[in-house]
Amino acid sequence: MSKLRELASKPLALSCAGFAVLVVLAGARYDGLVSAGVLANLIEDNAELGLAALGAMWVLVGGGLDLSIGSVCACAGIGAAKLIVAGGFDPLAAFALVVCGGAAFGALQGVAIERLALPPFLVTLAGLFIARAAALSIELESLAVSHPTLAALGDTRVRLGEFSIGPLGLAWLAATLASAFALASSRFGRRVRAVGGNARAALHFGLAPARVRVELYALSGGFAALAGVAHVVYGGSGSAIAASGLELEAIAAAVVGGTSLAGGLGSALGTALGVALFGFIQTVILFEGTLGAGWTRVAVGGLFLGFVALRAGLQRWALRSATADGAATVVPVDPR
Amino acid sequence: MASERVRAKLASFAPLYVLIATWLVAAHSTPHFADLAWRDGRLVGASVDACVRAVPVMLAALGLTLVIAGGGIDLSVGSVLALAAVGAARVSEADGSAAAAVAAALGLGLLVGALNGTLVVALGLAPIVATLASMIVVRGAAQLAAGGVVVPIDRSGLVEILAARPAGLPASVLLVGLLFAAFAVAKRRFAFGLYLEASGDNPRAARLAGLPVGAVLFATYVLAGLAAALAGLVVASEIRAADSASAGLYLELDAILAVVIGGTPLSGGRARLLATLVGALALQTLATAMLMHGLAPHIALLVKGVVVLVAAATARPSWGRAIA
Repeated sequence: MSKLRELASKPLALSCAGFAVLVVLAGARYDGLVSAGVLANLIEDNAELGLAALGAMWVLVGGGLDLSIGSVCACAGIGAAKLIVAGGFDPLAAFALVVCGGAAFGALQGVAIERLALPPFLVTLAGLFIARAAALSIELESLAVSHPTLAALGDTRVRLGEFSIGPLGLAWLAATLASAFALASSRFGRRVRAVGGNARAALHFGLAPARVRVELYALSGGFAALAGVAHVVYGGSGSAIAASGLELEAIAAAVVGGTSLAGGLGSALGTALGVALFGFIQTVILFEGTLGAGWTRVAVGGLFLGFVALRAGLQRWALRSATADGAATVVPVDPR
Repeated sequence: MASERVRAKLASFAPLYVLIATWLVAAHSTPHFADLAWRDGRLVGASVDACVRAVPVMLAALGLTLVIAGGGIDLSVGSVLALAAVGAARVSEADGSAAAAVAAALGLGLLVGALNGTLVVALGLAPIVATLASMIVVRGAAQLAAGGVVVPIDRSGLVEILAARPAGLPASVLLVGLLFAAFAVAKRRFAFGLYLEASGDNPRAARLAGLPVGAVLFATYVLAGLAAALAGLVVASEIRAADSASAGLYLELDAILAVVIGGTPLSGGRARLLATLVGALALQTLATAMLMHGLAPHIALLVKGVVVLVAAATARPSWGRAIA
């Protein structure tokens, strides 16, 4: 009983269990689904979403919300492509430039939220429109990029036996590990969790919630731009209409990974797990042979829905049974 | 005292000023924008065109106003529009009658609304999470129901009904009027309005006062689903087809924008239905004028972004903290 209760209070454990069940079931159904090659592709294919979701996770932990992620990603992608093709920039320099640009745009949104005391929902909604307009004014058509540096980057693989990982997968992995470490044990991570958990208490402790939140929106903008860079490296082109709705997928992945929308709680490893879960479902649908946007949406959305509903139900049950037993287990419940 | 009350009253008409200013600027800078004519028994002109184009957003935004007044949010309205449109098209393909098509669309809207209401009220999920999930699932369901094609709807009488112009006015605009009247009566003449604003303002206090908070909030999601389904019927009959992938895309954002420009606070507690309609009209007037000017669509996006910020910043003092 108390073991179950403990599990219910750990959303991440729930996600892991769900993922494991899915892998076992799908692996029994299809030969070759659970293999090093599929895993390598899964990581490489979902690096774009993975990077974007890390940014969404950071902002959510700080008690905010960023709806501009998809547009910033597209704008960074087309911007980098334009810099390389028309500006003659070296790809790495162009990438660094657009990531800084994304961070600056995010910081600007953060300043607007804090200085004008506006809801993040509205400011980042405006950011969604403005960044998309900026992307479209850079170039309406998609822009193919061919550059020796980019080609070399695409060919780079780190091999571990049968398993191999490319630059995008490495970047996602590194960003996830760095975020996990920073969130758990760095001064910045502690500040973010404090501000997201209770901004007023954080203020009384001498932290500066406004400053932390501006930093978070800058971080999210930077991650979104990094996702745009991943898009360019992965597809060899930038497009102003790419990544529409990426922000919602990113938020969904973060939530499945155990991040609370109420702030204060979150996990980088869980977010990566959420992204992997979505990617895995798409792989299964691919193996099933019913390739279609409809099935993918229903499966991903249904899983998301089932997961959050199950978690809410379990938490309620745990809270009720804990109070009934008079047990001392502390169960965190998302306050709405 | 009196002057303060006058000032507050004048400030509450802010969305109307936005609409009038937009219209005046558009009429001044765009040739023929202000022209209105009576031709073949119908009223024609750019302003009428803006009204007709604003119908889907107005319908969805009316429902959303109730949800937001109750302290919630509904991101699924665009997907519901697509599902209702596909449902209506499929039924009219098989059955051919307009009544069956309307019933199918409204039934689907009701179903998704009830699902959202259950998730939020019974399971206690955050509205933004619950409706984000249903937005994804419902869009997928619409795509599955359409089977990857654009479903034509021209065989049913629905197209003729909504293309009719009773008294020279477009039927779809009259539909908006009807829905507004129904919601306004529910809000002003029945306890529903009082309960709704009380629940949105302070759900805990409302619950302690014995109000049926859960039932009221559940009802707002159902009404929002129905309103979005009506919008789906209008969109499908306008283009004589239902496109599951693109119908109603970003509708939720435009509808939220209309509600915000109308001055309904995102923190809940107030429902300004008429102001929402005015906000939607202002947005569409702006878009129509820019289209007539030959400006690129992405400039319209930029303007929309700036409008969100300006509207939010000017309406600020009455606002609580974010919904997120």
